Amino acid sequence: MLSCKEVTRKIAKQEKLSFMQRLEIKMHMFICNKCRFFTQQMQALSQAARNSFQMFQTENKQEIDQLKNKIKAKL
Amino acid sequence: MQENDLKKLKAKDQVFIASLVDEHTDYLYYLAKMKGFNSEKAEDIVQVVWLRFLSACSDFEGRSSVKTFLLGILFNVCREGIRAEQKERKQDVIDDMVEMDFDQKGNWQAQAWQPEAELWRAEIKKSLHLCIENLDDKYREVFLLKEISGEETDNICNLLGIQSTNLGVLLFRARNYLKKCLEAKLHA
Repeated sequence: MLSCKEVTRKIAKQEKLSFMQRLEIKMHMFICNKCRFFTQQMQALSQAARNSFQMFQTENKQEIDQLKNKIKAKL
Repeated sequence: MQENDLKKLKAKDQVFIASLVDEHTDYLYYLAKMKGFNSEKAEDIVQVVWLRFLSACSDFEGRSSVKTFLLGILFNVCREGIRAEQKERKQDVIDDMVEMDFDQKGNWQAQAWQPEAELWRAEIKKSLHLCIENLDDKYREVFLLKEISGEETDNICNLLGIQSTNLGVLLFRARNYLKKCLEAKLHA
C-alpha cells in the first residue's frame, strides 16, 4: 500500500505512470481524502496557470499588437 | 514544420515571418513578464529574441518546432538580462517543508492543514502571480514551460539541458512551493 507521501510525490512530479501505479493511486485516493484534496489543489494550480495566460492575452491585447508591429517593422 | 514553410523561412519571406510573429509573440512576451521583467524590459527581450531568430533561421532545420526554437532563444536572452546581484532564494528547503507534512510512516500529519476548496481556488486567482514571481528561476522555468506553454517533457529537458528525473524533482518543488506560498497567504 502506498503512503500519502509517495502518492503526493508521484502526483506533484507528474511522471508517466504505469497502469499498476495508477491503480494503486486510485485505490489510495478512494480511502484518503487528504490526498484527494492535494490532487485537487494541484489540478487547480495547473488550471489557473493556463487561465492566467489567456487572461493576460485578452487584457494586454493592445500592448501586444503594438509590440508585434514594432517587431515586424524591425525585421 | 512543412518543407514549404521551411523554404519560406530560409528565404526570409516577409509575409511568412510576419505570420510567425503574430502567432508566437504573445507567449514570448508573457513568459518574459512572468520571469520578472517589467513591460519595457520584456518588450526589449522579445524584440531581441526575434532578431536572433531571424539571424539564426537559416540554420533552422525544422527538427524542433519553431516554438521550441524560440523558447530556447528566449531563455538565453532572459538569462543574460537577469542582473548578477539577483540572489538564489534557497528554495531547496522546500523538501524539508514538505517532509514535515508527513509522519514517519509517510502519512499526512494530523495537523497538516488543508484549506477549503473554494478558498483555495480564490486564493490562487488572487496570488498565483505573486507566488510565481517569488519562485527560484530554475523552478519557475519548468513550471511555466509545463503548465503555461504546455511543452512535452522531452522538449523541456532539451531546452533546459536536464534529465527527465531531474525535471520531476524540479516540478515537485515548484508545485509544492506554490502550494505552500498560497496556503501561507490564505492563512495570514
